[in-house]
This record gives sequence, structure tokens and C-alpha cells, in this order.
Amino acid sequence: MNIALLSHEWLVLLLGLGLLLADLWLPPAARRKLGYVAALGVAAILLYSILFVRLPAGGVEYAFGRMYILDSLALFFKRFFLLAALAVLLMSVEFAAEIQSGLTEYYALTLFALAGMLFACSANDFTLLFVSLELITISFYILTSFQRARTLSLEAGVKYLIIGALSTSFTVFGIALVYGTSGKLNFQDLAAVAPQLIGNKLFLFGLLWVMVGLGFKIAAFPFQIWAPDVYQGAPSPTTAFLAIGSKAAGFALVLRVLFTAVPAITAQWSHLLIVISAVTILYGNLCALPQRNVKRLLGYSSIAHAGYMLLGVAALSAAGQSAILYYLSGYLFTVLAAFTVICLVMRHAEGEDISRLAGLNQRSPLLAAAMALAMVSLAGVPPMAGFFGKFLLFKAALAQGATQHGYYWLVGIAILGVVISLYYYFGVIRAIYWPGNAPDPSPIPVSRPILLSIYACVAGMFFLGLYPNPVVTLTSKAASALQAETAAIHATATLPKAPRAAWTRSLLGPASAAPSRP
Amino acid sequence: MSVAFFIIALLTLLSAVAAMTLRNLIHCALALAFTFAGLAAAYLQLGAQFVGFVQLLVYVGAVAILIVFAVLLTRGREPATQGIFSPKWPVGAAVALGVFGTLAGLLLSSRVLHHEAAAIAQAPVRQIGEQLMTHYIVPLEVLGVLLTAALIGAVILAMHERESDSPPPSKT
Repeated sequence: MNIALLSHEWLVLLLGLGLLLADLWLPPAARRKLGYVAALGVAAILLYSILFVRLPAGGVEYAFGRMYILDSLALFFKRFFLLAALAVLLMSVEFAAEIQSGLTEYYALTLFALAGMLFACSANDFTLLFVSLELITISFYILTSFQRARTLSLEAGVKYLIIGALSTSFTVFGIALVYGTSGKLNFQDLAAVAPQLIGNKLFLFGLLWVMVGLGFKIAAFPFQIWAPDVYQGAPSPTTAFLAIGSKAAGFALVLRVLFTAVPAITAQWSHLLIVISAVTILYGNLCALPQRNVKRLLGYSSIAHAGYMLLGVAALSAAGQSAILYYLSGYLFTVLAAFTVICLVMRHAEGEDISRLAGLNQRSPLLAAAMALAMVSLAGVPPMAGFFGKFLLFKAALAQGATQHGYYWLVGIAILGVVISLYYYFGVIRAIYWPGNAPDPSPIPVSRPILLSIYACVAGMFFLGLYPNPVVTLTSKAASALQAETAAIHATATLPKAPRAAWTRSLLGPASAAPSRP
Repeated sequence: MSVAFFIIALLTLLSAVAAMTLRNLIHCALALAFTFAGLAAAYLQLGAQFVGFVQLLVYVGAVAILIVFAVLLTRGREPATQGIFSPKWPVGAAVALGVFGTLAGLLLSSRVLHHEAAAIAQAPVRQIGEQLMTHYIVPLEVLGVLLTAALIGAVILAMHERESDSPPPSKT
């Protein structure tokens, strides 16, 4: 048990609490600058993580009765979330004028949500999974409805709350069923008994309901209904954090549950995953076509991207998991660039209609270029990050095509989705560069930290698109941690299982092969 | 079945009837709180410590207070003029009897009654507390953060908008 393992989490929490305390002594005029303090703090933690946090020789370390895990996958996601929060906090400082009261609390709640994500990617137990998921969701309920003067923001908050509470109840019920049938909460323990429970309907329903909760977080098809409204109504920095942080946390947990806790059952769910992935891609892209509001459009596009990433889950291979991590990295820079521009351009505007982007090229060539590049990357056009991410995902799915022809269909549908998406992404670019009458021709002031953030995002998009090697090495290493743990589980699980199973059967009869309560 | 159980059951049922028939809503809420407390006492008397204390904390502590607040915040001060029995009371009585009959029938026909009561895994409060403080300490701490976030959020969302942000508010 080593408290240093949790250093990311408690440093972020201390930072958040420190901000809340500092708010008591600072004059109101200085509070906006606290956002820079928060961003600097997150940057320092990120730097500390990269320079000083090293994994032990085995590549994995547990804490608190194996409830908490630190492996290369967790570390990858921790740095990912810190990077996302850094850009989101810088964006929030720009957005500060729109938040009437409770600005420091806005920063602090963003940090609390970040802490929830950091815990989530290290969860190795259903208890910690649920609690960290709730910390993320509850922070987002508040962050979404922070602009109380705007009806849209309140409406988004209420919708997110109701659908979130519903999906939470599914998750709890699912966890209760899994525990009731297997008697295990820990992922490794569960993996050891899961092969015996393949035919147990209650157990399968439990897992399915846990997946409902996670599907809500990543906005996959039957649980996506909240995404467009919430993306549109929430304050822009919150939307950005929701789009990247919350979704990535959901995928981190999907990967852990499906490939560490119940790999034996996931292997039988390939049909389900293929169908969900295909429908999510089609739904997101088709519904995005008629949208005029940029944030709503990005809401639908985020559903489509969840579908692309589910393609990597459906591939059931290390290559697929690695491709998801790569895709998320590209998505991080792309989405942050897009939302930073939206946040700056539409700060004082009432609606976020696409026509508001008109003439952006004259008002600020840099912002126009960043937005255009982000759209190109989201659409998946080379040489941007989005192209290479999609390439890796499709490749991983095609590699499995020999075993099951459904994968060919899935990739076909995904390519169709890409073609559809070109239409609406280029609609945004057309609005930026088409010589129209700009509603407000004044140039847009861009502060230095935001400038830095935009440059970093654009550089990231190009880097991931042109020099994929370093990041591919990183993501395949992170994904291999998942494989190594699964293999380790099988090694430890198969050895003592045979004598124990025989012993159980002789003692309790065949009906009780499935353990009930411990 | 001890005498204590019958006393507790009788008091619980009586306060439930009172909650239903009293005319003043505040009195009803108090009677309901007494019912909750009676249930908690029944659990404790049956040896289910944890369920008993949770019943006390959640129902007596939180739900009853919530009901009182809701009554205070929403109700006008006018006294009720209608009678206690609504004109459709036979329907309500039929539904109540139906539910009671179904539950009683299921319980009586189930195999649970014929089993010799297995030794129930005892989970006394002490053990639960020890587990919470050792094995489940990380989720417990995360829950603490979660409640902090929820509290801040509740204040933020319920706070009155200040007239202007320029004068520093007194934070005492």
C-alpha cells in the first residue's frame, strides 16, 4: 500500500480545495486569474507525472486491496486527462465574463471532475468504478447548468441529471446482479470466475446493465439521447471537457471491464458490439446533417466518433484497443481546438449558429485556420490526426474480418459515415471562408495563454497525423498492459481451478457450481 | 416473538394510521417520522443493526426532514375542507387489499417459510465500519469529494444572483 501511487489524484484534489480557500481572501476582481493558477497547477502535476512517475519493473502496481491499479494504461489516461483539463481551464478563463457568480467554484468543480476521471482510469473494482463515475457525473450536472441566467443551460442540466440518474440506477442494479451471482467485485477475481458464469442469465444481464451506464458516458447509440441538448446548452468549456474527458473516462472503464474483468464473455459479444458501433456511427452522422448550431453539430459528431471508437472495442484485439487510445489522443487536440475557437468567437453571441462563423477569416486568420484544421481532422482527411486514427481502427477491424464477415460490413458502414460527415464538416469550413457579410467585423482579441493552447492543439493534430510512430508505441504499450493482465489472470485462474472445481462439485453438487455469496 | 416486538409493531401501526388520518400536515409528517423510527426499532430488535441504523439515518434523518420542508415550502396556510375519505375510497381499499393478499399469498406459499432459518451472515456495524476504513477507504474518500462537489453545486444553483459583483460580499 503506497500513498505515492495516488499522487495524481490527491494533488489535483488539493489544488481544487486550495482554490476554494484562496477565493475567501481574494478580491472579486482577482478571481478570474485563479483560473491561470489552476491551469498552472495542472501543468505542474502533468510535468511531475511525466518526469517522476515511473512504473515498477512488473509494469503494474496495486493499492488498497487491489482496488486501485496503476499500470501503463492508467498512466496514459491520467496524463491524457491532465492535458485536457489544462486546455479546458485556459478556455474557462476566457469564458469567465459569461459566468455571473461562483467563478472559483467553476474552476474547482472542473478539478473535482478531473479527479474523478483520474480515479476512474485506475479503478480495478466495481466499487471504485461506480464511485468515481458518480464523481464525474455529479460535477458535470453542476458544470452544465452553471449559466443560470440562460434557459438553455438549465434545460441541459435538467436533461443531463434525469438521464444520468436513470443510467446510474442501471449501473447500480447491474453491479448488484454481478455481485449477487459471482460474489466478486474485483476485476481480477471476477475474471477468474467469469468463465463458469457464461450461461448465467442474471450475471449477463448485470454486465449488460453496467454497460448501459458506461454507454451513457460515451454517448453510444441507445443511450445518446442527451448528448446534443447538453452539448448545446452547457457552457463551452464544460462542453469541451464533456466531449473529451467524460468520453475518454467512459472508454477507459469500458476497456477495463470488457477486457480485464470479463474477457471470456466479451469474446461472445462481438455481434452486439458490431451492431452498436454501426448504428452509433450512422445515427451520429445522419443526425448531424441538418444541424445549424455548431455546438449541437459537434454533439452529434461526438456520437459518431464514439461509434468509430467502439469499432476498436468490437475488434476484440490489442490492435483495436491501441487504436482507440490513438484515436482519443487525436480527438483530444481536435476537439479542444474546435471548442477553444467556438468559445472565443461566440463568447458574447446569443446563439451558436454556423452563420456566426462567417467572415472569421478576416476577423482572425489564426482562429479560422485552427477551426478549419479541426474540422478536417474530425472528418478524417489526411494528413491530420483524425485520418490516421480512423486508419488504425479500420485496420484493426479488418484484421478480424477473416473470422467473422460482420467486420467487413462494419468497416463499410464506417466509411459511409466518414463520407456523410464530410458534408457537414465542410459546411462549417465554407461558413468560415465564404466571403459573406460578417455579423460583427471587429477583430477578435486572443490572449497569450490561449494562443499557446491553440498552437499546441494544431501542432498535436499535425504531429499525430504525420509522425504517428512515437504515439503508436505509447498506445500499444498501454493496450498491452490490458493484455498482460488478462494473460496473468488466465495463468493464475486456470492452474488451481481444476482441483477446486472438482472439490466444490463433490461437496455441494453440480447445481452450485456458480458461487453465490462469499 | 417477544413482547417488545408486539409493542413496537403496535406503535408503528398506530402512528401509520395517525399519519393517514390526522388533518394537520405537520402532524402527519411527525407521525410518519414516528413510523419510520418504529421500523428502525423493529430492525434493531431483530438483530439487523446495519439496516436499523441506515433506516434511522436515511428515513428519520433525511426523508422526514425533506417532507417537512416540502410541506412548509409548498403549502398555503388554509385548513383542509374536504373529508378524510375521498369519494372513491372503495377502489383504494380494493387495491390495498389486493396488494396485501398477493404479498401474503406469495410469502405463505414460498419455500422460505419451510426452511430452517440458515445462519445469516452477521454483518455487525463494527465489521462494516472496519471494512469501510480499511478495504474501502478509497471509495469512501472519493464519496467525500463527491458530497463536497454536490454541496457546492447545490449552493451555486440555489444562490440568489447578486445585484452587482463589485462590492465584496461579506463572507462570515
